[in-house]
Amino acid sequence: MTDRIAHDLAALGADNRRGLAELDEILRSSSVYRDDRPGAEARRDALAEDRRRELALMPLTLAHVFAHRVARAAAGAAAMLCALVIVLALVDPMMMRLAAFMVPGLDIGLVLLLSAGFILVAYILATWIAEHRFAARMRRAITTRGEAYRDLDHLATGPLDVGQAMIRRSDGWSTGFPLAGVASFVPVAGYLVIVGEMFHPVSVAYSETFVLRSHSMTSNAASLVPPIAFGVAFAILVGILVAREHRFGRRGVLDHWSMLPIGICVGMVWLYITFRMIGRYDAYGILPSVEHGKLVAYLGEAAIMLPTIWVVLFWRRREQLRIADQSL
Amino acid sequence: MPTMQTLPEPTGQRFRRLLEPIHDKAQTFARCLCRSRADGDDLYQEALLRALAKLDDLRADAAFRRWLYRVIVSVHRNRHRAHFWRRLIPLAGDERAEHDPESLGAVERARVALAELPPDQREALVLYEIEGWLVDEIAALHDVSASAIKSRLARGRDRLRSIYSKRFGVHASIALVIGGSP
Repeated sequence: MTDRIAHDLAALGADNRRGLAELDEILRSSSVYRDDRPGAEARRDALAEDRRRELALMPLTLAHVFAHRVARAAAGAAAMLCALVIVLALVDPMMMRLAAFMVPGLDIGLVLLLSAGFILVAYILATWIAEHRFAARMRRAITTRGEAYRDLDHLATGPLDVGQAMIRRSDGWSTGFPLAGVASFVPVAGYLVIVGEMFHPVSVAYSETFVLRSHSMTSNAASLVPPIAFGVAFAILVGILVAREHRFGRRGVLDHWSMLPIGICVGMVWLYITFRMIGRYDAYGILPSVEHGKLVAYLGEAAIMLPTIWVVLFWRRREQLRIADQSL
Repeated sequence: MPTMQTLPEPTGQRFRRLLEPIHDKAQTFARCLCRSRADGDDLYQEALLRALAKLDDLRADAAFRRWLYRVIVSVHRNRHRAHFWRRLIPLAGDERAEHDPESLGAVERARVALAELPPDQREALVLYEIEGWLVDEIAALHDVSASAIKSRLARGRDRLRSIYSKRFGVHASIALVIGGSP
């Protein structure tokens, strides 16, 4: 720290250490001319007025961003739950019977439809709850209770800061959960579609209940678990990094635009291998090997995760610009 | 029957006993946070008043330093936010925005640059660079993780560099030396 800034800061420190008031003098003057109670009450009232004005003029963007972040996290969690239930139902016949009992006529089309509906409802419900919670927190931020010093402490953090803090706290969740949701649900949905269409005609695959219980569907489902677990773990890691205000390096790797073409390339490779696998089965009845299946699963997971991470981080950056959060 | 030792110490005496060893540093800290020494002294006095009024809430004497600094930070942020409207509508005669770079000395330059930082970054930088606190101590003061403080320090330094570069014409490459990781 030998440059101008370091020198200036050191000079500032040295300057401020000069001419310090004696403790006696400060304590004496504090008790002589400053009666704290009326002054504190006046400051409290003025501050409360400022806070009310601040709330009245506060941009609605804060509430929107918070609500949508919470909703994204909820939708991600709902997607994870759907994926978990589907995988459990596929690998455990008991669960499948229970699911079929609860939803008569359960087939792939209905499973996908119900899952999509559940995720959508979770998103809408979470948006609504988050907006109400935000409004309640804002009301609390400008409420005074009668004790001047406590109120001053309470009002020291205004609605703007409370709102930004809420948004910042939701940052990690709103990044990790959607990623984990996509990492778990999309491969499961893709598995249902690909295996369903591979072994059955399209007209049957989406409308017959036995397809879900077919041997081809249930015996290969376990191979989905490792790549999904890997994808979810990676999503959680990204969420934690975001929550810790990590910026992924000076010029971020994960939120760099090159993630998109790389993801598209991986996706093309995945598509090629998958179509080749399906074609070989259709033409010659050759079943893919276990290694082949694993490769497809991992490639599919990577093809989904790379562009999704970029999109989520890009969206997050856009939200930060919208709320003009200086500290992020 | 309570002995003399077990009787509660009067608040004023307790406050004085606890404040005495850290008085100078705390006052310096308050001055560094503010745009001028007078503002800093005023801030310090207000913080002491508030601390004295709430001293009974403090259970452990050992935590006094952190507690007092928290009060100072709280009062400072309180004042900073009270100027919320000034940021939107500059008042006539508010000359804080106008500085002649050439005429400023080192101390004034540092004051001007620090005043432009957000409070959390300013507090972290003052405590770390001027007061010599450890990152963990600052994290404990703010009730956040050490990595959050490191992040604030890094952002604060970045911003200081850009302020120096824009306002005082100090080239960024010269100022970059400051940016060692905490």
